[in-house]
Amino acid sequence: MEKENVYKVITKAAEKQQDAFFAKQNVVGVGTGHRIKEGKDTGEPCIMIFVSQKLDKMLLREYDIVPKEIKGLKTDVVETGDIFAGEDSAAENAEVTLKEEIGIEVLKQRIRPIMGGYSVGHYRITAGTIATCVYDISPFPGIPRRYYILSNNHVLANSNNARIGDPILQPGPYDGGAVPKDIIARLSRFVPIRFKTPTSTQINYVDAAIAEGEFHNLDREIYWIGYVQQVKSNPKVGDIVEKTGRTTNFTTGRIIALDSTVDVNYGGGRVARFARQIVTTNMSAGGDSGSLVCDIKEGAVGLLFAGSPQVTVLNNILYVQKLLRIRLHP
Amino acid sequence: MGLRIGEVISEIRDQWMDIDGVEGIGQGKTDDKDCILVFVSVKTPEIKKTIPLEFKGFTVRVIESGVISTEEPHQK
Repeated sequence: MEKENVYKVITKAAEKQQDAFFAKQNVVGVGTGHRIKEGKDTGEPCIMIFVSQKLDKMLLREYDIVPKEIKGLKTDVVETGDIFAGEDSAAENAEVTLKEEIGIEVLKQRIRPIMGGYSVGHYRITAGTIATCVYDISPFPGIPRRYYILSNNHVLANSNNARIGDPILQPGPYDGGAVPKDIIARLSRFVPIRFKTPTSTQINYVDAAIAEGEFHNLDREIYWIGYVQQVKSNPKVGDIVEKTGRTTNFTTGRIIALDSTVDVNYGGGRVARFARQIVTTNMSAGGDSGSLVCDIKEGAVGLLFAGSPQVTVLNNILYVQKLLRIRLHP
Repeated sequence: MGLRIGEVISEIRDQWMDIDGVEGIGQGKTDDKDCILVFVSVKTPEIKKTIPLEFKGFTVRVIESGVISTEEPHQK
């Protein structure tokens, strides 16, 4: 085929497939161009797909992957970032702020009894999320003497910088929670985080803590998810999971790795290594720490505590139960 | 039968975690087969050089996850 004809064919094909391309995650543009290899124009005509962010196949759903070829025509994926019209950046920011304000208010508000998914925090932190409410592992069966809120150490125990009995606020301080009017519980137990030092790297398994509250204030239902039906002992790669959290509300993700070792940044240069973690596609943002992640039949899978723009990291819930000596279900 | 993936990963876990830019190592699947997943902040030349495409019969996938941090509001 002559080159000029090739361009026409490609342009037509690109136009025809346009809607299908735009339906894919992160696609922000479609056009005709030359394939670029290692930063150089190869001169080879192709359908060019512009994406806000190039992601590994593993992080995309199958139908979001751009095929290498379409009807015999090569494709090339180019990362451009989000494309904005050349508008006033202040106006752009204003819109972003507005969007945020619409989405969030529900789970940042004060609520009694509290539920999983809502904002919570130690009085000296910003804010995190309530996983659910729990009780001591023994006596069982029997009469529990105490009931607790479950979340992360860095949410309820200020990353080890807390004392037993410290006030826990709902909503968290960042969302307007204040002492004494919003105290919902008192810090009871936490698993200390062992941070990396120049000479040693200790292994952590969970970032978890519990705070004792009054039974009539603690509802263990999770907003939009319901009641935990079981504790899942064998999550698998590919399983779909869900969570409700303070910042991104109800979200779903897919497990991409099990038995993972991950280095997690705690701010201020502190890093801690975690083993036996579960990694999912991104389903969280800042403020979702502490969310309980369940499978779609309300089986508890993990305690969300960290993430990046591409992935979310969970502690295996079995380790959380064991190390805090608590029970989520029945 | 070959080695189990868990054993294979535990052999190299500490060594690979020490490479600059490696944020995590886990057990995943690719084309329905067990594989080794390496999460990196960015794919540096050093990572490309040191992490093999395959290790003891298991495919190694390097995933650019970015830096992993706790999900607190002030950090984002």
